[in-house]
Formats: sequence, C-alpha cells, structure tokens
Amino acid sequence: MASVVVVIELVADRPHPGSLEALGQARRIGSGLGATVYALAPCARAPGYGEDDLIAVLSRHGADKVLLATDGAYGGPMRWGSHGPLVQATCAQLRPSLLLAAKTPGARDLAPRVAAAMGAALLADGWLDLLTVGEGELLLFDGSGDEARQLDGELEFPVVALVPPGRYAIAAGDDEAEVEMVEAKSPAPGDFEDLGPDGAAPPPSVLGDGPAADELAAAFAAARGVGDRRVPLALAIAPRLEALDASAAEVKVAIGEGAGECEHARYALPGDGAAQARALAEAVKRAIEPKPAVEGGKSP
Amino acid sequence: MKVLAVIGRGSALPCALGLGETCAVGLFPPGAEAPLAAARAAGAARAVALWDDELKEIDFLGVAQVLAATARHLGFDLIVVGEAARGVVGPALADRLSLPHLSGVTDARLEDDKVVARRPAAGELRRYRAMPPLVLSVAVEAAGAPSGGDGAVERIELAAVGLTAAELRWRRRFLPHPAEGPRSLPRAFADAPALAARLAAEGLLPRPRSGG
Repeated sequence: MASVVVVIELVADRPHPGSLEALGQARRIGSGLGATVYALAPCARAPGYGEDDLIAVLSRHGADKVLLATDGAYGGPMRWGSHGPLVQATCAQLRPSLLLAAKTPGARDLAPRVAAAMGAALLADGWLDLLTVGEGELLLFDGSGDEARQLDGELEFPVVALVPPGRYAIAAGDDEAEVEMVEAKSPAPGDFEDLGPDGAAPPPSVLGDGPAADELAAAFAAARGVGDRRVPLALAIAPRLEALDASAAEVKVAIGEGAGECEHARYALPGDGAAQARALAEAVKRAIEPKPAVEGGKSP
Repeated sequence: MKVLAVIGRGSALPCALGLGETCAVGLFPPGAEAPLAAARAAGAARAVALWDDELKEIDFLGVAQVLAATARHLGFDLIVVGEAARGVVGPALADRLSLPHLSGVTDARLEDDKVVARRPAAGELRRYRAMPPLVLSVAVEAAGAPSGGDGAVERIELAAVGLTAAELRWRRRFLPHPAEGPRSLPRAFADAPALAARLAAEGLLPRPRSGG
C-alpha cells in the first residue's frame, strides 16, 4: 500500500477534532502497513509555523506530509463545490489506497462524490482497524454490530471512509512532517454561490424531564423533544436515553446513568443525570458568553 | 420546473413538490412499490419504479449509475434525493450526471429560475444559490398522510434506460458483505466542561455572543 490521505476540515481555523482522530487512525494503519500518511488541509490563509499552528499540530498528530492549499474559498464551511475539486485532484495525483475524513456534514457532502469519481468503495460509517498479529490484517467495516458489513481488507481498489468523530484516539508524536504547497482548485462549474449566513442553525433538542433538562435546554436555547427535521445535536438525559434512537440528529449525547453503554450516542457524560445536565448547562453558558477583547483587539 | 424526487430509505417529497411538477422515482422490485404509490397519492404527477435483481448486490455507485441513467431517460431540471442516515447516493448521483450538488439541505425554493437552498453549517444556516440542472440531498422529513391521487406506479426495465445487468455486475466486489462488526459505544467524557469544549471544537455550540 502506497499512501493514505486524510482530509483535514477546519473549524475557526483549527482542525476539527474528528479530523485529528482520523489522522491518528491513518497513522496507526500507515505505520503497520508501510504507507505514507498525507494530511490534506485546505485553508483560507497560509498558516504559521508556530508550535500551535496547523502544520505543527498535524505533524504531532501523525502526518508524514502536510499538503497545504490556500484560497479564500476554503474559508467557508467544507462542501463538495468549494473543497471537492482539490480533494479529487489530489487523489487523482497520489492515487491513495485509503482516503479518510471525519464524518461531518461537510465531509458527507464531499467524500461520496470523491469516492464516485475514484470508482472507490465507500464506508459511510467506517471502522478501520489493523490486526497486529501475524502479517497485519486490515479490517474494514461499514456500520456497527449486527448491522455491519465487512469489506475485503486487501485494498485491491481504493477505499473512502467517513469516520465518526470520537471513534478513534488521536496519535501523538514529535516527528516533523514535510510540507508541500499544492495548487488550489477552482470551484466545480455551475457550483452553488455561497450567499452567506441566514440565521441560526436549528437548535439542539434536549430529551429529558425535570428542572435539569429545562436548564440544559435554556443554556442551548434549545427545543424540548424530538423534532422531525434533522438537528445538529440532540442530548438525552437518563432515563430517556433510548429516545436518541428516534432522533435524526447528526450528533447525539447521552447524559446520566447508563450513558456509557448507550449505542445510539456518539458522546456520553456518565454519572448523576440531573447533576451532569446542570453542569453541562453551566459549561455551555460559559462557552458562549461574550469574550472580552484583549490588547491588540483580538479575543482570547 | 421538472423535478425528479428519488424515493428510497428517505423521502424528500414535500421539498420536491414545492419546487415544481414532480416525478417520483425509485428502485423497487415488483410488489414493493408502496412508497412510490404513496408519493403519487401525496401529489407527485408521476411515479416510476425500476428494478433488476442485479440491484440487490451493487454498491452506492452502482445505484447512482442506475439512477443517473433513469434520470436521463425521464428528463429533469432538478433532482431531489431524500437523505437518510448514510446520505451517500445524492453526491454520487451528481457525479454521474456531472451536476452541481448540495447535501444536508433543510429547505429550498425557486427565486427567478434559480434554486436557493439552506443548510446548517457551524452553528448557523447558510444560503446557497445555483441555476438548474442540479441535485439536492434533503434532510428527511416525516412522511405526511396521503391526500388524493390514484397511487398508480409505472414500471420500466434496465434496458429502457440504456443499461444491462452485466454493466452493473462489476460493482458487486465493492459492496461489503454482512458480518458482525464492532460494537459502537460512545466516547465518555470525564466532566461537563470537557464535553462542552469538545462540542465547541466541533462547531456544535451556538457562536459566542458578540461582546466588548
């Protein structure tokens, strides 16, 4: 196997945690199978070279090589129209055996189309694990438990995998990655014009009873109960954890007793449900409260 | 505007009906066309089913290939795909047709012959605009009760859209086979501030309010 490419999605100029986790799993697989791991990072502006800047972060998290493309168009939310041509061109040049991306709404817009263009197999809910016994067998699954499907791990054809954030741990190292500037690509012909923000995204839904649920909903300015529309985030407080199964939310959080065993959730906050819900409400309020300006005019 | 609504695991029929005269299309074997009949009853002007047993064993790209050929055969200005949990067919279909696409759409309307669609991104809704033809993958909405229409479903064969089973067979090897997979358990956080920080880093919290 020659190469593994990981698409790095940026949120407020920082790598999405799920992208770093996908990079970590790519590192473990690449090291086991002798593949070069590329981190492809479309950026609106050229990053710095400080310890906490993008290149250093990607180096520490497992990249052998960082491919940087800079263009103002990459400053908007990741989607096929703006970011896809770059990813597709990179894959056409490198011909990776594996292309990984964190399973975010942006990657769900981009990765299936890249997979189609490559003629690749697609794991929409990807598990990629390397058995280290013997010759190092690569296990590839799409989905979980008894609903899973397994793909041949011989990589006779390219595989594109969307990896849910939270599934894998990040890698940690101190090797420096090579950096290569790659040419930004124009949007696809006839692509959608980005008209900008148009109000707040649908608020999270909070599933639970009692004052703690009320506080959590108020912290998010959230809706109570499950709506029909897909919402970005749903939080359920025990004993209502099973309600997450019916939710169409992109990200589901289980809070309280049994949260750690809730297979419908991506994240869990175990413990006393009411206390944890109140603590999360406080933490959310602190996270979204106005930030004071500091010297130089920049917020911390 | 001639709209094709792809009916599958998800249905974006309400969105499609709001954009123009809608033809509902889906890959259903004989006897299983109920979702298409329901689409006709809900207001689609036409419902078309296509099936070949080869479709049982092909992957997302094979499905997209069949849908693309069907779309060309039926004609369209706009294609709307209901986006179920996997949401992979819409982008692949757009690739086969070489059309712009947008997924995760919450609503769409026509403005001066252009399609204006909204999708959530990083805590806000964003608007996007493009000229048809194009493909939209729409967040699935709850199915409404049928309201009139005769539920009649037309049926066409692969040959009618210019495909053969043999052309699709090569995608069999790309389809994973059923197998017991890993159990998906959530990542547990030690405390609420750590979880809040993670949600913020993923762009899932409301943006900080502007302050001094």
